[in-house]
Amino acid sequence: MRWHRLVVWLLIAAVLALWPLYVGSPYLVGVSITVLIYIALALSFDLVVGRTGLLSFAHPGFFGIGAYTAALLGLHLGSPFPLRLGAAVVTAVLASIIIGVPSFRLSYHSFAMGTLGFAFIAQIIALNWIPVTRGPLCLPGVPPVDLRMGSWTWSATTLSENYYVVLILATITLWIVVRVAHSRIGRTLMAIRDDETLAKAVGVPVLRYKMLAFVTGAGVAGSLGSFFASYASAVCPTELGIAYSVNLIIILFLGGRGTLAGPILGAILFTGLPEFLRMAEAWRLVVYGLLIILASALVPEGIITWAFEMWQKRREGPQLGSAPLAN
Amino acid sequence: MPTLEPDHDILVFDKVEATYGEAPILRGVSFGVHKGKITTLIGPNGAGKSTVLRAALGTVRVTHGQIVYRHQPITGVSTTDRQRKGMAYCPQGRSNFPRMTVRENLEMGAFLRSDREVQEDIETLLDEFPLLREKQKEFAANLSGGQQQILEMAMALILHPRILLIDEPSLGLSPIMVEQVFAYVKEINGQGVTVLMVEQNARRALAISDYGIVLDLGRVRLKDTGEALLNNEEVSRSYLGS
Amino acid sequence: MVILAQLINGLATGGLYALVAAGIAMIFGVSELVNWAHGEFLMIASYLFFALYVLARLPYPIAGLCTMLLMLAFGALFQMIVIRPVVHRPWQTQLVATLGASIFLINSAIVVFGTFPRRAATPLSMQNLTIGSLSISYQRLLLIGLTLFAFFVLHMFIHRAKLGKAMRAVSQNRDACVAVGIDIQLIVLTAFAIGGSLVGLAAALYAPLGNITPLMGIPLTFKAFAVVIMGGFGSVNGAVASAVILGVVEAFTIQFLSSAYVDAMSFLMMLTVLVWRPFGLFGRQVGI
Repeated sequence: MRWHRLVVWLLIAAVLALWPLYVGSPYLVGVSITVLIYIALALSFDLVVGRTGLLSFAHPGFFGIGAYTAALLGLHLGSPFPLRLGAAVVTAVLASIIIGVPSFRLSYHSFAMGTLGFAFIAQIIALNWIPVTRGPLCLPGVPPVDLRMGSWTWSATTLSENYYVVLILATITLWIVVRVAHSRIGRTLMAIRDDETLAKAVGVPVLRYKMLAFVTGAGVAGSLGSFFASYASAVCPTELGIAYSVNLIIILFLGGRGTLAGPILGAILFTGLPEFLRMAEAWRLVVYGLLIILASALVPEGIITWAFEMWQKRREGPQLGSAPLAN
Repeated sequence: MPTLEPDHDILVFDKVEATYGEAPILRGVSFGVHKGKITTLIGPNGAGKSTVLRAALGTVRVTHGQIVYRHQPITGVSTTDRQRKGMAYCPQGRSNFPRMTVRENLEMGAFLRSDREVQEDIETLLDEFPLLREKQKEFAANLSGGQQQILEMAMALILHPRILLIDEPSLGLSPIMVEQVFAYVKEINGQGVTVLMVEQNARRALAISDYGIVLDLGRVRLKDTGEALLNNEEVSRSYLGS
Repeated sequence: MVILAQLINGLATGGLYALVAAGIAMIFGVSELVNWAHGEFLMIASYLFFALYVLARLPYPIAGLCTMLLMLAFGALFQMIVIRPVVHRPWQTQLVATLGASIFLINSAIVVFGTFPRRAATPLSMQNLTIGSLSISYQRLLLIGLTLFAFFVLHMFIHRAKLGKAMRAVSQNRDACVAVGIDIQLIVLTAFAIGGSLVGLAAALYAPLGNITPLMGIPLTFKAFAVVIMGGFGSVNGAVASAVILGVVEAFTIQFLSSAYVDAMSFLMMLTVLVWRPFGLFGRQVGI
């Protein structure tokens, strides 16, 4: 059983590693990079939404803050990528603490709206703080992802190289999310999500746990932002936009919250499907809008959770209750 | 000793089963409610007493068996239609509209009626319950717990019900108010309204009831007159907490 | 004079926000559901008004009235198609359903009308009332007047009509509604229909003053929602009062500060209010 699993993982790793060589066309490698960014973002977002039950609109804000931090450091100080990444994580975490402390006083809808407000204000600052962000003109010329060891330097200039960087980042994200999910923290978060009153009653410091998930998610989003700044070689105020929040919410709710496969499937469907549909942006979003309305009515827990339940029902026959998908 | 004869029964449960989520609550409940009398359901917590009332009203789905109301099976009849046909319901806990006046609350009690006599009936009710007339312009939230319970009973009466389903009317009331609420239940019954009541305060309730039904774990354990149940030693020991 | 002019402009904008926010607050009051597509209702209503007034050349009052009636039906249909299937789902699912509807409506409008801004100027919006150095377009005065009238009618409906009273009843105690036979779905449908017609009125009054674009509803949803939170969730009066305050604050921000930050004002105000009074400016209120 153990080696059986190992073989599967090695196979997946091999496929992912050889993927850019196989697809060949730079366009499809670019799409793959976008899909991986979305997978990692969705996984980190699920840490907040799927495991605390709170709907945050600030998540892409942390991505954007990370991107701006990394871009400014790269442009003005010529800092190497690991430093930019570290700084991006730190600023995103700081921002999440500043935003989280007042927002977690709010419940449900107000929390969504409060975090949306912060994201919105962050975008307006990015648009109007011209001396630092150049506003709508964006920050162009961000140096690529690079590593320096003494006199040895390497930088990710080709699409394939960027693909491997984001693959590593996405893998680390997955690892963090798995670790959190399987730890006592993850189980506590699930307990809070399922019955907050009970969790409080048995003395769980609910707020601290929620904050922990929120801050961890923000840190991951910030690191992805630092990669994005280098990959796109520019950062614009739109990177902080609520459009990203909406995309992430769609990905989680289509795929399935509180699972690992859900965000991954959602991201692939959301960013990959358009390549198959090959239609104008507006038409595509009309279809997405319809899909979301249908999904919320028919598979409210997401496709993965629904598929798992169907599979379990078929395998075990009719039974009382159905176990939720735990990772 | 009078028996529960089907001919006299306005409401009959026939092997009724109901579930809440996945858990079975009623496991084949059969009994009849004698027309024009007060019948009280007693039993421990979780016995399914409130579910019986909700099943009668149609807010809980009956999975097996059937409920017969005025000699007609009512499976598939909507809750509002049951209310139009003379079932009134006072749920457990506060079921009024706290930031509406007493009079507005009574008007809401008449929501299902579209005739012109509603205002007249409200006047008649206010005559019957002088304490409500006194407070008719006040928000329901400003009434005491017992006054609110009486308001809720009055709201149910505007539909001119044939049967009143009333869940724990004495819950959380002071002993004096409990007496008054039970007196009103008796008075309502005196006007010809059949009463099916659920009560924790079993001794008091049985004392004013014609019949009592003991429910335990979703099944009927005993059916008898109120008096007989009060004097039944086993019932006393197991369910009346003597 | 500048102050007075800005005050009137602010009241007009506040009136627009109030008409949108009242619907959100009322819907939340009876269903605990936030309609994130409510701004898109205004966008749809504006295009409807454009079609009736500019394309079909109906007289202004008739085009306006038809917009209101069509939006009444639109609100009811929206409740039946989008909301009813998710009524018993958790609030996140409901939010996502309305978000999906918002994406669908915006992009349908792009497909039908394109992103090019449309205009539907009326004779009233091109003439100004001038008193000394004060100059205000008649359209804004009409907007303020009819908005006031609409809220008077709404108030009478909620406090006098049986259906209006039932709306208050639903917002106060849902279990009791079942006991007295009030059909909650019917009441929620009514709230959506009224919300739709208020937005229809807003479109007929405000569309002549600005551009009609597929994206015009997005900031409106946010601002209206911010105002609803400021006013205490589900309280129509609180939402209306906060909407007027926001309109005036925005007008003065443009005049004395910078137009760049005007859209941030709503969020800044909301966040300030939430930190200072978590239950809104007017305290915790039950119901509509």
